[in-house]
Amino acid sequence: MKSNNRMKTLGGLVALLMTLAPLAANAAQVQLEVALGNPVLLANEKQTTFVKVGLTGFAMQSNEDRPPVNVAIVLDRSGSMSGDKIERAKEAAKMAVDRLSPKDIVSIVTYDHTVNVLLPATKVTDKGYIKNEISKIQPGGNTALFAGVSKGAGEVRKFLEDNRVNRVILLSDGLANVGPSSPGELANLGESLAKEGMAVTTIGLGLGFNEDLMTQLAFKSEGNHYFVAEEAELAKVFNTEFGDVLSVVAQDVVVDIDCREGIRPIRILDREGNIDGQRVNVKIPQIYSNQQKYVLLEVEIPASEEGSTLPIANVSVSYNNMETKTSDDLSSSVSARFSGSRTVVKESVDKDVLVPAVRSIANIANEEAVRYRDEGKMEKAKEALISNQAYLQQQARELEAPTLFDDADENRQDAASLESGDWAMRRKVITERSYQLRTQQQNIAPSKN
Amino acid sequence: MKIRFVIPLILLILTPLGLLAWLGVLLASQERASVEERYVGLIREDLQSIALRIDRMIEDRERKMLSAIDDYLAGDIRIEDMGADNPTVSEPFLLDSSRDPVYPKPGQGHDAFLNRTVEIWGDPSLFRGESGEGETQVLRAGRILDSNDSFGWETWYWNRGMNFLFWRALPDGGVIGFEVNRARLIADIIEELPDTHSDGRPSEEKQFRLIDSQGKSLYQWGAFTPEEGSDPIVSNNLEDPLSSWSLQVFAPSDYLKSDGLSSYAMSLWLGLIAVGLGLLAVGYLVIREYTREMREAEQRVTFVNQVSHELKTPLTNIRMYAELLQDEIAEESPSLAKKTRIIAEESGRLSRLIGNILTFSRKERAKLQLHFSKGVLDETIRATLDQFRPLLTAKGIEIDLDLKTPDNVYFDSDAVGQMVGNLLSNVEKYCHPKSRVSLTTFRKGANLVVEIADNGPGISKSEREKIFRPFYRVSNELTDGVTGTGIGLSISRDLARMHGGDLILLPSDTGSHFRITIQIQSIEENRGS
Repeated sequence: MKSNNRMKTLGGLVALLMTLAPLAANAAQVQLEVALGNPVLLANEKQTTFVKVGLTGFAMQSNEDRPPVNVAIVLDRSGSMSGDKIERAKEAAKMAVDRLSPKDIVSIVTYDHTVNVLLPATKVTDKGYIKNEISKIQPGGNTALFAGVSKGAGEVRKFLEDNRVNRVILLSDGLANVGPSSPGELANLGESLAKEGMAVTTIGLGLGFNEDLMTQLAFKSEGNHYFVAEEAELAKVFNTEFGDVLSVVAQDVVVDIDCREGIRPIRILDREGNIDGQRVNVKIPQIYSNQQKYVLLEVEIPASEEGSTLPIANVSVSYNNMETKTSDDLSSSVSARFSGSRTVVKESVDKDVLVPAVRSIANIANEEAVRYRDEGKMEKAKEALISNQAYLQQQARELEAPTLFDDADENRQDAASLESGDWAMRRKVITERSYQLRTQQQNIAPSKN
Repeated sequence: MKIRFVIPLILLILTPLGLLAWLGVLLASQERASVEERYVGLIREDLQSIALRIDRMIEDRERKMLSAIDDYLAGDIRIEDMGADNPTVSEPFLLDSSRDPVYPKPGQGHDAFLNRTVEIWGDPSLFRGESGEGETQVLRAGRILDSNDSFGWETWYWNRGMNFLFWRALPDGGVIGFEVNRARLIADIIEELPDTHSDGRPSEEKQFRLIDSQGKSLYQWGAFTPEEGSDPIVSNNLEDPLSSWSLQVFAPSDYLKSDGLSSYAMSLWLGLIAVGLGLLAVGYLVIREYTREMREAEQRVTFVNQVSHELKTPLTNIRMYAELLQDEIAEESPSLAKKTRIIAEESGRLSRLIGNILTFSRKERAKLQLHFSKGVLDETIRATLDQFRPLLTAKGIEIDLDLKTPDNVYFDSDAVGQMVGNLLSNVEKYCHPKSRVSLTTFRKGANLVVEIADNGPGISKSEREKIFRPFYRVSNELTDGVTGTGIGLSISRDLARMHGGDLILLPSDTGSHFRITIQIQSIEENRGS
């Protein structure tokens, strides 16, 4: 009958919509995973474990859907850049510009002891003109790094919008010597830019730059950091960086971890965040497609009965979805079970949580070792590195994680370079490695020897 | 051109030139000073407008911070979240009425902030506006405030430089505020300042610098790079709270030249050169005129000399043949002898006249020379006297002789003859008949003296020196109608002086008393040389 037919069509439509809806809903969302390092804990014992909040960027549906980019390329043209270095830098910048499209905005700022806004923020409609301007760059005098970054940020600020990927990419080969030049001051600048929603990526070229300054500048906005030993690698590095820039899927990510009753949050590993009573709040500036950023929270679990289940935390995440241009909210939660059997506990260990946790802990120890070495305390530095190496090896065995063996080996090499003439180079390698671990930077430049 | 022309010429040119140059330099330096002032004034205006821009930017940040504080006071946000999305600020803080921190407390994760601000807390004198400041602040940041509502900046030195706290007073006596992100403040200022394009435009040859309280350069712009340690040409402080920061301008040391001042100097130099050339031309023309007259005079003298020379030779012949004739005819016919004698005498006179002229012209041309030879002065005197004897006797003038130099000496007998001849000629011309003339010679040391004295009309006191001037002839009724060139005494004196002596007119009551003195070398001395 007629009404029956109508009902059927309506039903069919509803069914169709219902199958489509999840697709539409899930098609472009960050994937949230909350896990415990030890999902099964030993009963009747107070103990600590790690909560890992993992966020994986989704793949963009198509290249056209990617958010427009608003980027300033800040190039050092101090005297030390003359010759091959500046030429390679120019080439790399041009190649990067080639990857942009007319919906993107680019600006080029060069600096020696003065700053030249070579190309004010402009839409990438005439690539030929832009590349021509880049060709004109000539090396000059000193290094006003702070001013270069300031002016670059100023250019990005002109078209600063939530819906764009706003970034300053800095290339420097030397020590800042005009204007504010300390890591602390650059860190403060980076922090203020992060508050505005601007990320700063730093590329250090050669052995003359200050890696602490460069990493601290990038840290608060979780921009990338690269140590490029040879200028021939610059093109690849720029390519890698622009690969990230063009694949931002989420910005202004806010992670709220609400620890349940009885659970005490101890510390956030390797990240900055707020612990306020039971609430833990962490901000992550951006997430790239198919890359995972995570938060590791060490928590204290009260003694609980065997066989019981204890809710550990509720996690809620909000972020700007760069594809749909809306705000997304995600939530999840995690609980622990208790068992009397150590074997069960051991077998249930979640390597995906504990291996990153171990690496973060080792990272913190490595950074301390570098500080000792900076202060001239060779013996203490060596001690720290070697005990770290032992820790990593032990954990590698327990968790059966080959990555940790590799990390231990790196430690051994670090210890060996402590007193050699190689230390300047090694320190940059360590700093880069340490930074990339802290910020979960995955697009890593080609390895150095 | 003689040297005595060169010096006045140089003076003529250099004096006005020097005056003009001095005036010109004076003017130029005044002009330069005023141009410099104007130039510096323009730059200062530039700096002031930059300082104003920066001040407005600071006001804008103040507004935003006050707005965040308003949100907190309205209960919209918690103290820990205040300013979380404001890039200008780092840390919020809350103080009680004794200026101790209420927020943050140690151990809340802001210990670094508390450490670096530890000097400021607990000081009740801080975070207070001056009385009455509330009124002026009504205009600040575009807010209407009453006099209790004060806000401001506190600065203190830590680590790398001046740090800033922005605060606002609370009704309960407490204070709320922010630590300002110093690096961001600097970056914001840099945003207001120009960048540098290396076009190489020469008009951009300046460098501007923003300097912090420790003299460190925060930012630089401009195409010029000054030398280490050079001073700025202009300096201007920023407004509060950045009043210990300043803007400086550097320029190359010749920064004014490019402003056309060099063209001023150019035209000055050109002017001076033109005047100098003009004066040179005038001087040259004047001298040319003068020397032309001199040249013409010289030509005349030369002509006279030439003529005299031409006359001399035929005259010598006439005299010679006249004297020969005299000797031959003397015995044969007295009337012929008389006629011949007159020929000889007149030609002798002509000879003497020409001799005078030639001597004079040689003197003028500085070509007069004495010719020394061995001889006896007395004989020269007698020979000359013999020439005049007939004339003197004819006029009834008696001659007294007292010659006492019979020795052989070296002297120029022609010169002596000319001198004595001139004196005797004068005697013959000016003395009345029945006068006496005496000739005396004697030796006086290395000199020989010839004195000729007469009792003629004498020479008046006023003319005693004038008579030795060339061409001068005493003019009174007695001598009118007397011939002569007026050069006799002049050349005689010249000759005497050339001979190491002199011709002087001795004072005398009656007549004229001339004394010739000549220096002689005795034969013995001469032989030795």
